[in-house]
Amino acid sequence: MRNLEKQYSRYVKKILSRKIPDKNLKYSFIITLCFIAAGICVYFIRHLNYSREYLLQKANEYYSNEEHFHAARYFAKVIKLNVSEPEVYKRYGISLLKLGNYSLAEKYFRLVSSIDSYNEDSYYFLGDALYRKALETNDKDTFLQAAEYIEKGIDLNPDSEKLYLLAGLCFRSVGLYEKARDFYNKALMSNKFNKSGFYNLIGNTFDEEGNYKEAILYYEKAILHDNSFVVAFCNIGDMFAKMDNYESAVQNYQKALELDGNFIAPYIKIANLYYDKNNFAESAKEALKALKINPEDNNANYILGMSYKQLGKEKESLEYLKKAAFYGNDKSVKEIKRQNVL
Amino acid sequence: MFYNKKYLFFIIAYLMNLILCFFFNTYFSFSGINLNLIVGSVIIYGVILIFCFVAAQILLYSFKVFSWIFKLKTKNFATNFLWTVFTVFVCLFIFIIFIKVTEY
Repeated sequence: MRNLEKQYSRYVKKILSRKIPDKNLKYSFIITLCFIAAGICVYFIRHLNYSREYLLQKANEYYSNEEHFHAARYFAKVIKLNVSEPEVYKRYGISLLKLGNYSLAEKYFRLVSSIDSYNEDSYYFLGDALYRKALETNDKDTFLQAAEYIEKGIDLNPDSEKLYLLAGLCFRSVGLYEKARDFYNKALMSNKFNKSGFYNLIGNTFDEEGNYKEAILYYEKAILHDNSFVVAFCNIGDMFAKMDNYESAVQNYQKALELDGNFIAPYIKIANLYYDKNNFAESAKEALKALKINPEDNNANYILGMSYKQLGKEKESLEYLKKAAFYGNDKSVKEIKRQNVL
Repeated sequence: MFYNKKYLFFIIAYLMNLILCFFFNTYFSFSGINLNLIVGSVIIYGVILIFCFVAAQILLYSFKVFSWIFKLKTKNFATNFLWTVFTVFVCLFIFIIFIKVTEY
C-alpha cells in the first residue's frame, strides 16, 4: 500500500515538474481553458436565476405573444421543475402543436385530459393533435382515435361548434362520409350554429362521394338559410362543371360575383371553364379580371399565361407563367421547363 | 493559438462542437428536430470552420489593403496572422452559439 502511495506521489510530482517546452502551446491551452471556463461560468450563473415563477412568467409571456418556439422551451423547463398544472400542460401542448411536434403535443394533451377529464377543450386539443398527426402519417386508426376523443368532447359539451367541425373532418379523411354527415346533422339539430355553413359541409361530403346532384341540394339549402353565402354558389357551379353542364356552372359563378364582386375564385373558375372549352380569348379576359382583384394570385396568372400561349402570344404567356411560378404554382414551373426543353 | 500543433486545435474545437450539438438538440427538441450527435456536430463544425476561415481571410485582406493605402510597414507583421485570427474566431463563435443555445 505504502509502495503504491509512493509510486503515485512520484508520478504526480513528475507530471507537475514537467515543463511544457513549447510556449505557444502553453498559452494556447491557457486561452482555450479560459474560454471553456467562461462558458461553464455563464451556464451556472444562468442556472442560479432558475425560479419556477420566473420561468412560468416568461413562458406565458411568449405564449401570449404567439412566440411558440420560446414558449415551448420555457414550458418544458417549468414542467421539469415538477409543475403539473393542467393549464401549463395545455399551453405547452398548444405550442408544440403550432410547432408541428404532434406526438409530443398528444402526450401532454393526454395528461391534460386525464387530469381534467370533464373539460371538453382537453378532448378537442387531443383530437386535434391526433388528427394532424394522422394527416402526416395518413393513418386511418389515428383518424378514428381522434374522432373518438372528439366524440367524448361533444358528449361533455354539445354546444361547441369546433368539435363538430373537427369530427366531420376526421370521418371525411377516412371516407366515412355518412358518419361525418351524422355529426353535421347533430350540429344542425342543436340550432346554435350557422346552418348554411353546416349544409355547405354536408354538400362537400356528397361532392367527395361523387354524388353531385345530392351535393347541389345541400348547397341550395345553405343558400336558403343565407342567400349571401357566396361559397355555396361557387360550389354549385363546381358541381355543374363536374356534370359537364357549363352554362349552369357559369351562371352560378356569376351569381356569386353579383353578391361579391371582389371574390376572386369565381373569375378563375369561369376562366378555367372557358379554357377547357377552347375559348381562350374569354378565358384570358376572366383571368385579367381576377388579376385586377389580386395580381399575386398564382392560379389566375397561370390560366392567363396558358390562354396567351394558346392565342399565340408567347412573350406575354411566358411573363405570366413566370409570375405564377414565382407565386408558387407548380403547373407553371412544369410548363416553363417544357417550353425551355422545346 | 496552437500554431505549432494545428491538429490539436482541430481536435479541441471538434470536442467543443460535440458539447454544442448536445445543447443544440435540447434547444430544438420542441420543434421535433433531433440531430444525431456525431453527424450534427460535424455539420456545425464544418459551418463554423468555413465561416471563420472566410471571416479571417476578409480581415487579412482588408488589413493588407489598409496598410497598402496608408503605406504602413508590414514587414514584421506576424506570418501566423491568418491562423491566429481564425482560431480566435472559431473559439468566439463557439462561445457565442453556446451562450445563445443555453439562454433562459
